[in-house]
Amino acid sequence: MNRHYLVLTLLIVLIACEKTVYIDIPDKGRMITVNSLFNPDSLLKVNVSKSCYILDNDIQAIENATVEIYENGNLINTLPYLNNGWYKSTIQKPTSGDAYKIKVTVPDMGTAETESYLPHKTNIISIDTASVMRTDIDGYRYEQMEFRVKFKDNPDKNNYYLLEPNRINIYTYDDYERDTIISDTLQYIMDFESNDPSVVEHLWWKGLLFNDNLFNGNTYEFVFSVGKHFYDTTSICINLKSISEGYFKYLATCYKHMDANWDPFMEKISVYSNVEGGVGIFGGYSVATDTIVVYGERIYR
Amino acid sequence: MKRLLFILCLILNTSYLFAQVHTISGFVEDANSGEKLINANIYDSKTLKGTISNNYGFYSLTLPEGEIELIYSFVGYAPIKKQINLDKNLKIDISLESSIELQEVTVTSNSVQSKVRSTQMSRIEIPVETIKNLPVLLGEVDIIKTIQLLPGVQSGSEGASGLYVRGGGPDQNLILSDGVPVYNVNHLFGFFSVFNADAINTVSLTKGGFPARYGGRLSSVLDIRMKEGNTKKIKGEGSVGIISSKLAIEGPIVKDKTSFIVAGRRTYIDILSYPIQYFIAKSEDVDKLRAGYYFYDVNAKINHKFSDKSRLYLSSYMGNDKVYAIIKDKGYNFKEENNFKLRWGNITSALRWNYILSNKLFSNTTLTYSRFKFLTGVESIYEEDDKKNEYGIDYSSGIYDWAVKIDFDYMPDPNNYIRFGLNNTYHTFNPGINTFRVLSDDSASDIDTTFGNKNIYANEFYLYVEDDIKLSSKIKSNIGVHYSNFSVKGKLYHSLEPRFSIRYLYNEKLSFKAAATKMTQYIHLLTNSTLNMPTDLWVPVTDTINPLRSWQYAAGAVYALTDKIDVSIEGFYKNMHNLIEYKEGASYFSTGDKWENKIEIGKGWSYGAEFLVKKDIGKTTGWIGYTLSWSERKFENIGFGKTFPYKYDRRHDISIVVTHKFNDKIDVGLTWVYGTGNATTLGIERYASLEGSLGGNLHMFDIEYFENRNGFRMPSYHRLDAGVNLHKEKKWGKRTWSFGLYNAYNRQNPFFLYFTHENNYQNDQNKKVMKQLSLFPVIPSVCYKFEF
Repeated sequence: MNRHYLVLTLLIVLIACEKTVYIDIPDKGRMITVNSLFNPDSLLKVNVSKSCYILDNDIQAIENATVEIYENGNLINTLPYLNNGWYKSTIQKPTSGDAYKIKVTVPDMGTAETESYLPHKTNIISIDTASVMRTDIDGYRYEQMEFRVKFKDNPDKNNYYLLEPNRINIYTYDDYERDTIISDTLQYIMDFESNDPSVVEHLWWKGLLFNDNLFNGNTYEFVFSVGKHFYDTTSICINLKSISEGYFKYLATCYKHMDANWDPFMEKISVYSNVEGGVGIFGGYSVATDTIVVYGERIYR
Repeated sequence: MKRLLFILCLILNTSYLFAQVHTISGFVEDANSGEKLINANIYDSKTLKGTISNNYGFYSLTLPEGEIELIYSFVGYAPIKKQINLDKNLKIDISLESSIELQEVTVTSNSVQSKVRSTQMSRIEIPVETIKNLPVLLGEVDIIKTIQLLPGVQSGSEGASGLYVRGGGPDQNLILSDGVPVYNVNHLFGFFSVFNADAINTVSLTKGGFPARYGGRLSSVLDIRMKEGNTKKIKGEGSVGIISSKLAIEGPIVKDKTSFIVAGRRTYIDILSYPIQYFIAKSEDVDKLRAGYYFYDVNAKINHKFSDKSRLYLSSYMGNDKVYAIIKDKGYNFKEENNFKLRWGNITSALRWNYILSNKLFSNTTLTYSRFKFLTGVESIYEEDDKKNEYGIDYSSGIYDWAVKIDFDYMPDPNNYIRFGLNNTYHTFNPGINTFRVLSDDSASDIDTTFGNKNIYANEFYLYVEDDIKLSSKIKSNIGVHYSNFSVKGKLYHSLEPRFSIRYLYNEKLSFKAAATKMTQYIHLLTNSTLNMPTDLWVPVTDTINPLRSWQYAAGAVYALTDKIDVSIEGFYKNMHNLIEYKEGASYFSTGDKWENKIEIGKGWSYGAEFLVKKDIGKTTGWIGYTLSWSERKFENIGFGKTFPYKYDRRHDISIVVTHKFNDKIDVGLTWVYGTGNATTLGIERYASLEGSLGGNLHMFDIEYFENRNGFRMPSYHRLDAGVNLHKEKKWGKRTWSFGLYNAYNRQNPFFLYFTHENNYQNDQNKKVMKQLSLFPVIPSVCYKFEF
């Protein structure tokens, strides 16, 4: 389907010419940028930086900010500076269900505030798999593994989810100096597809973004599939992240924003921000994880 | 209410109740070609009571008994006066002689006067001769490009054939070819339009004050009428240009009874490139390589006069664009063939029957078919060792309409011109369907399947009645009502649309006009807002997507500056509801999702003023237009619900169009356009963002901060086109050499803007800059035209 797009692009490239233009883009001053994702398993970290004028390249970390954390309206911690704009909590980890606020004060720049909450974890009830045959747009038939991830949605509020199908690879290598074999694990995102009606966005490098509009409060079986080319025995880790509304909106716009910046024929898209007096995102998530093992097809002799 | 209407009719027709009246009716036509003249003036010079001929040249005028002097006039033709002792009903067919230069003063006075006197506002007619004489891109005469030069009309992006009328979208224009809607008017991604000027008789654009007979679109009606074909003798004209050639032939089949016209054109860049492709194939060691692009269109019309009362027309248009590539290769034991195709085009057909029911009542019954289809696909065949494998995939979308309509023109007296009628259209929408097939010697694995969006079937019906009614010697009004309904997926939408316009004749040179119209539109074009792509989808309202609705208010004045020049000024305000746009980030090319899930619904409004000075007759013709306008949109889920300027919101728009005929051998054309740059969205800041990646690690990337959607302007657009036509009479007819310069002073107009990094190797710095891509530099053209 993109071939005619290619034809048009070629046509434009053949006849078009380019030049540098100068449009008066007003410099409205720098903005405080506050970014933080938090979860119940880690101490809260906040990154504070300074935006830059669109034609400049120097986004700078802010080292002298005062970063305060409020839990359910009460100041619980002033975060010490770590490095590269990072500030890290020194007390307890965030608690699911609680509301948090970050207040960032930067000398000569003012104050930025942002609020979010930490959603409760949504446990995975079961994961069923099946082998299915599909046909791609060029007509090739290929085999996929279909996953059915069952979970119970929390009926009390609107819920937002990010499902990450990750492959776990275990690397082993010889450490000759120590004369030992070392193994390490790494998760990376798998190629996935989904026609599940609840999907809001396919974040190709991250996962599937969906909400509970279609199944609020019910048990739901979310369906997606991945390419089935497992020669070795493989562990697949399914992360079902319950995410805050702000983080959901941020993810939904962030990837489109990047796409649109590459495509001159797409309308530009603003990235969602929940920071008052600045920009950035403060979002919470809780992860439920389940792992399945797929036995490979490689024949060892 | 009925009593009130009856009394009103009585008052309006008092003089006709007490006087013996008779009706004069007939047709007005061109003396040389027999072509019917539309909107010719017919009036009694003593009482100044009169009428105009309709779209088929028919007129009817009822006057009191006695001596009258009837004057028949039409722009560009010598008028005819007829002394008549009116004592009975008369049928008079009139043939007017074309005589632009000979009778210039007499002729033009009527042309300008009719604009001052008409109740219709926001309507502009452009003589086809003017369109043909204007310089254009690559010498391709283009009706749509000329329409874009009128005030109140924006062209969209550089070189495109889009029409954005008074802040409306490209789908809000009812484009009629001989009364049949044309859904896609673009060749070559919008750089050329589908209308062949050689087959066109009249072109008019209505931007507001819509009479009740029009409906189904919010923003404009572009009414293009084809020639009927010369009833006197065989005539032909054609041209050979840089990218295309065309030929039109018209003439009688049975003199004064049956005539025809056939016009066609084709581009030939693909054929000219065949030798190059041959050498590429040789160098790449491929057996056969054929690739290219062409478009063609054919207009044909035949009409037959059964009697003075009955006439039948059959007209058809067919046009296609095609991009193709064929690669064939073979070895000692294999053979391979790959085909790629991308094709889109329209077919429209109309079978029309004019019948004069009485000397006051004219009927027109029409059956129409309109189709727009887009198709793309790949096909591959591979044979090896007597085994054959074949696969192909196609994607198609389109719209198909069958319609029947009956229109009546009833002219009871000079104070009333009543039109009424009804129409029923059956739409079939194909919002995108894929077919896929795999055939091989192993038939067990064969596939032949179809998937995608299902066809949507809908029925659209309307009826209307309007009266162009003279309320006093100063005040004339057009009052009407248009009712429509649309049934789709079990849902029935209704709309009752009042139409009202009024003219106050201050004196013979100056009139004031005002209009208020409600419009409803049941179909949408899902489109990329920057390009006119054939992939743009026509889709109907559904049970969840409501019809587009608008109210437009306009007020203005027309002033006859001289007997050749008219000046008009108009102000307008238009609101639009249930506009649709692609969701932010929805892919224009993806087919994996239902189209209904890719759209947002919002509203818009536009307002502004238009100024036009126009001269249609004489050695120098043309116009100067200026538009000052605002157009805005608001969508709850686009740009966080903030109001933003429409992409083609253009604050200032100026066009100067001039043609001048020095003598019979030389004429020149010049156009200059200026427009405020298109609205565009630019970041003003960049900031770091953060997202959790795998395993809870964090990484950074930059985000551009947009303060407002379409909050900036591209550099302004301006361009000068110039052309000269050199004519020479030959034994066989007339030849013309046309030379043109598009973008004569090589202005680099913006197509789109983008940020990029520029390296300065001297100081080893990487600097971010904004670049502008421009499409068309100065482009010369030459074209050889002939007439016989």
